[in-house]
Amino acid sequence: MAAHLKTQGDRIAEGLSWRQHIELDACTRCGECQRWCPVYAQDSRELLTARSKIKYLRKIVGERLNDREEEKFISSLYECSACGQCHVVCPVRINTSELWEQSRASLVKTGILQPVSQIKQLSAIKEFNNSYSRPQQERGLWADMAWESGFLLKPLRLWKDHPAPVLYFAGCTASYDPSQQAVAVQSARLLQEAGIDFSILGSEEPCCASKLRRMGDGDFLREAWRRAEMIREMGIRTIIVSCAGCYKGLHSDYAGIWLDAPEVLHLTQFLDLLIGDGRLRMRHEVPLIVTYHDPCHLGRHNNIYDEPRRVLRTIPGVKLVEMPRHRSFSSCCGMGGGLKLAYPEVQLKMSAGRIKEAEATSSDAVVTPCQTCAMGLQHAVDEHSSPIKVYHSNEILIRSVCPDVTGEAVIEAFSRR
Amino acid sequence: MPDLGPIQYAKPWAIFWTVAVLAHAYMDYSFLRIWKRWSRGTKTGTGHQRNVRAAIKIWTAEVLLQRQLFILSRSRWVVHMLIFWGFLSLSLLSMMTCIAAALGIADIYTAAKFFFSSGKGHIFVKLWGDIFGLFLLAGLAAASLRRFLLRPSQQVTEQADTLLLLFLLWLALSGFVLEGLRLSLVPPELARYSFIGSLFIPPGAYTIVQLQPWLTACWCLHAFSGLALLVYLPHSKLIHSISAPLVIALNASAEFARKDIYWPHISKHRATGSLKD
Repeated sequence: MAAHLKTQGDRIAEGLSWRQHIELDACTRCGECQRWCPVYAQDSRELLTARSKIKYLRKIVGERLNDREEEKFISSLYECSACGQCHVVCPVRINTSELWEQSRASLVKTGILQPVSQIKQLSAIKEFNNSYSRPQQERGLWADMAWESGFLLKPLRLWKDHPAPVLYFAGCTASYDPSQQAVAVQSARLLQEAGIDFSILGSEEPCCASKLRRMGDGDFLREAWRRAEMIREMGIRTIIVSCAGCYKGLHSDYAGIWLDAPEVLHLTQFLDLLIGDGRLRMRHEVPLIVTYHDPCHLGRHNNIYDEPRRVLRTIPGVKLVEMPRHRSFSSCCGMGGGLKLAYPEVQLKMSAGRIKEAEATSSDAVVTPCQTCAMGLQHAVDEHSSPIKVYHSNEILIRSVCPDVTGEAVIEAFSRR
Repeated sequence: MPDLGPIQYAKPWAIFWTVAVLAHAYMDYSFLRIWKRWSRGTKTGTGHQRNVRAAIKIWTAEVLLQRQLFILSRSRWVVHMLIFWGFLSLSLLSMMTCIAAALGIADIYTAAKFFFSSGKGHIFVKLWGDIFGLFLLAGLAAASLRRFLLRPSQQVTEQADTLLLLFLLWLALSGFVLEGLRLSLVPPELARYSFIGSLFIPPGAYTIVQLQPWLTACWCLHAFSGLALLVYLPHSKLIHSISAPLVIALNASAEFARKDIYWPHISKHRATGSLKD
């Protein structure tokens, strides 16, 4: 078809894969997605369900939607954390989160842009190489500060000076966000405690750019390709990430991009191996009842359920109890998919819902191996004055291995600097 | 041994075949348009190595046995299995009947055709129709009960849903009414094989001459309704009977490679103590 004769629907249709087109026709509107949707649980509008999104998507690729319908569809597409719960429960097994992300990208190509708040963050990632709009030179400061504050056994070496067998990839949040820098420090310390020869990229570490994919930015492939090429040229073979979003990005989103894919592991997977090999020893008891929150990007999207639980169970004194919704049925905290940027009030309700679930287990703390989830859950705890604590899984582990590197200690030391 | 063959009454075969060819042609055209719509998307592979054995295993579990639905809700699984297997088996029966009729028109008599239309095999054909007709009828009745009376919160009923349900009910019932009329003309010992159809035998005694117009009318209603379904199928949500198995098959290898949510034991991962159906 000549380009000038193509309708908006044609262009959106071309952005989807042929398999996704079949998926649009496979939905029977059974409503299983509605029953389990964590967004619908907070804002019970049919528009927000996966079946409704599919209905509008089917309409938009077949014909022109009127302005009102278009507005409704777009709001439903972005009022979603793409957590993948609807994928898990769909009897037809429609890969919904992939469909939403691809639809977002497809709409953007036709000029139907994301909510303004998302565009701002996407621009920041492309301009500053991080979502915090901070200079790239500051990215590796946490490592220097950690050494100078006495949190590390030895200074961290940069890959360019020492290309170690393992690279620790801290990610934007743990590098820049003062409330989460402890995650990077603790990750590095735990790796040192286990005697791992690793290095970091410091100010050369790029943003994984997975947020571009989550929010449908058209530049994702180009940006991801650049980063994959950089990592390939450096000869990096094993990457350890402590962020669920970076894991999803480097492990899953880059799957079709890597020319020679390095091994990408989440920190909990690596620690699980190290503990199994007896290389990381627990020294102190941590008397806590904890419940585990599965991050969507690790659990539903990448099938990592057992390793983090095994790590927690090896810590003496820790008792792990499950929430009613766990593993592939874990309720999303709302921090993914750009939902928090576009609909912060919905995200807060989702996190608050999850905190209520955690409270009902009578746990002392809710533990998650994702700093983004931890931030979202902590926000809900603060807003609702909940007595429950929110910890990154590193925090529990570090209290047993080397209790002088607690999150509190790191935050305090870093804030003085 | 009584004659096991079908009761002979007038059937407008010429009109039926003409309409059947047209209906089929229209259905094929509709599917072609759907295929073209699907083809507008980018061609991408599954991104994983094909694993035929895993794909067959997943497809059997998910399409033929509908494992995912079984795990989510036993009651909905029973209802959907009744409709699925009832519809599939009756469609197969109708297709075989049409082929047999076509063989008759072409004057091709085979031993198999004789066995199933006039010989002892006729009983199996009737039994097949009754068992799966019962499946379909029970499934549709339960689905109607759920949709219109129980009304679970997740259910959204659009006009098309009501229309499809009524249409399938009509097909199943008209088949049984036709069977009941036919059985009123055969000896009772033969009627027992059609254990559901015999419930539809009209009261009183009739001759073939008396019932002939009714049999023809009922046959027309049932047969032409079946053809109407061919026309409606690509435009109704029954399209999922084609697209859903296709999606499952296409995703199967990828799911197996990821060892993800569906493989090997989703039941291990399901929520506990909440959202009971």
